[in-house]
Amino acid sequence: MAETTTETMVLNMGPQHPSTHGVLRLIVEVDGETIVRCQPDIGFLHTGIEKQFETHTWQQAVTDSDRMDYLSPLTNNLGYVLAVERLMGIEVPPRCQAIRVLFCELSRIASHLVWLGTSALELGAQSVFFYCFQAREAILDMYEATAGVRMNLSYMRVGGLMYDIPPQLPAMVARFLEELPRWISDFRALLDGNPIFRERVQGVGVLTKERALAFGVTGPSLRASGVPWDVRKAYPYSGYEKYSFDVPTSTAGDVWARYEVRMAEMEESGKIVRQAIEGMPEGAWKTDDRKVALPPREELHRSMEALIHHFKLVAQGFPVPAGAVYQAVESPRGELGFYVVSDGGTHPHRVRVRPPSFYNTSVLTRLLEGCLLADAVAIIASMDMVMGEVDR
Amino acid sequence: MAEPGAEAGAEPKTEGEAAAAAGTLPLDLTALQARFPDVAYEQPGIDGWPVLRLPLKDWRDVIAHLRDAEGFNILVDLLAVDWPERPEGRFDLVAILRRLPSTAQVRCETIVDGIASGTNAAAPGSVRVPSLTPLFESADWVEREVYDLMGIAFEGHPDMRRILLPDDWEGHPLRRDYPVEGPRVLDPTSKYAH
Repeated sequence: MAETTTETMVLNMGPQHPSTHGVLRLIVEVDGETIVRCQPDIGFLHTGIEKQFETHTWQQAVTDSDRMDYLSPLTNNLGYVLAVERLMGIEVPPRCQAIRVLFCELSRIASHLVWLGTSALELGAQSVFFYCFQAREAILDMYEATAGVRMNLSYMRVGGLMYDIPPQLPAMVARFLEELPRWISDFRALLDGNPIFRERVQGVGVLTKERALAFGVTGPSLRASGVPWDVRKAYPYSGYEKYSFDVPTSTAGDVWARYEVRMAEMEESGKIVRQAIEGMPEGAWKTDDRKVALPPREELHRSMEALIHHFKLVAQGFPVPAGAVYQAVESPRGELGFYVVSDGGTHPHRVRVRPPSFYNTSVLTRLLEGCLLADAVAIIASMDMVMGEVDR
Repeated sequence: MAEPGAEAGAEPKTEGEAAAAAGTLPLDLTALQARFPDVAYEQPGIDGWPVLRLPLKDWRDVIAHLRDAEGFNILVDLLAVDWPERPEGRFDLVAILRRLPSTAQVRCETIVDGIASGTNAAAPGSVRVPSLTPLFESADWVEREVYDLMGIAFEGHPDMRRILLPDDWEGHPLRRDYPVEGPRVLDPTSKYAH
C-alpha cells in the first residue's frame, strides 16, 4: 500500500439536510472522518423581522415577536411585552403574571419535547419522536383552547393578555401534569439505558465553561457547562421570584450533560406549572389603563369615552415614552433579550432581539473542530437552535 | 460595590437597581475615569442598568478594561440604533456586558458618525469602529450582523462579510432610510418592479 495522504475534503452539509434543524448550512472540511474546520452559513431564513417591528404599532408588533422562535412563541411574546411595559411603566395584575408564567413554562416543556424527539430521531431512536410529539400535542391543545391557534399564538398583549384562560384549562393542565412524569420516565427508559444512545452522546462535543462564555452561550447549554445562570433567578420577571424551582446544572459540558439538564428542566417546569395553576389569583387579567388596553366590549354601548378609547387604540395605537430598555427573559434556548427603543411615537423606533440561538450556533465554529463527522449531528441537535430565531 | 451572588433573591431585583438605589456602580468608576477621562456615567434609567457613554476612540480600550480589570466576562449583545436626523451623530452602538455568575451588568454606548451614506459601508473615507472580536469571540458574528444590517464596518475584524444577507446585496436594511419593501421593487427600471 502507498503511504496515506493528508489531503482534506470540503463537504457541504445543509441547508436542506434533515439533521440541521431547519436551514443551517455547514461547510465542513474533513480529514477522513474527522472535522478539521467548520464554517456555519446562516441567513437562509432571514425575513427582516427586526425591520418589520418598526412598521407596526406597539401592539401589532407582538405578532412579529413569535415568528422568530416558533417552538416557544409565548416566551418571545413575553420578552417583547415586558420591554414595552417597562418603557411605559405599566404594572399588570397578578392573575395576568401567573397566566404568563404558566404558558411560558408550558412552552418550555413543548420546546424541549421537540428538541428531545428530533435529537433522538437523528441518532436513530425513531419511537421517542412519536412519544414526544404525542406529549406536545397535549400542550398544543391547551394553546388552542386558550388562544385559538396552535403555533404563533400572539396571546400576550402590552398591558395584559388577549383573553382570560378558558374554564376547561385547569382540568387540562391537571391531566397533563398527571401524565408528565410518566412520559418523562418513558423517554428515559427508551434512552438512558440504550447503549447506542449513550455511546453517541457521552463525552461527545464537550463545551468548556470558558468557551461557552466567550461565545455568549446561554441557557441549558451554558448550565450544562457548569455555570448556574438562569434569567428567571438572576433578574426575576413576571413574578418568577414567587415560584420555587431548581436550576439544573451539570459540569461535564458534553451532549449527555445537555440532555440531562433539559430533561431535569422539564420536570422543574412541571413544578412551576403546578404552582401557577394551583395558586392562580382571581381578578383582572389585563391592566385597566384605558390608554393601553381595550375597554370591555359591553362598555362600548354605553360609554362615549370607552368608544373613543377603543377607536384611538385600534386606529392609531398608543404612544410610548421615549427611551430604551433591555429586557431579558429565559427562553428554552437561553437568554432572549429585547432592546427596545422608542422615540415617543406609536411605532417602535428600533427593536433589537438578542437571539440565544444565534450565539449558541456561533460556537459550532469551534465546537465541531476535531469531532467525527457522525458526531456533528449529535452536537448540532444538542445545541437546540431554531433557525427562525438565528436568522430572524 | 455589591458582592457577586449576595444579591440573588435580595430586595432590589437587579444589581443595577441596587446600584441605582445606593448611587453605586458594579465597577470602580474612579479607576475607569482616571484611565479614560472622557467616559461619562449615566444614572440607571427605566430598566435599572447603569450606562457608560464612551467616545468612539475609547470603545475597545474601555471594554478591554471592563473585561480585564473588572471581570466582565460575557458580551451579552452588541447592537446599533439608527437616528438619521440626529445632529450629534447618526448611529448609537451599544454593547451589553455582564459579570457571570453575578448579576452585575453594564451597558456601554457610543455614537458613530461619518459613515458613508452609500450602499457600501466599507467604502474609503467611512469611519470604522474598532472590533471587539479580539476580546470576545461572540463579537465575531454579531459584528458581522451589525455590518450587514446597519452598515457599520469594524476595523480589525477577521472576516468582515455579510452574515444574513447574500454577499451581493445592496444597502443595509435596518437603516431607517431603507424602504421596508426593499430597494428593487421601488426602482421602476428594475425587472422586479410591477
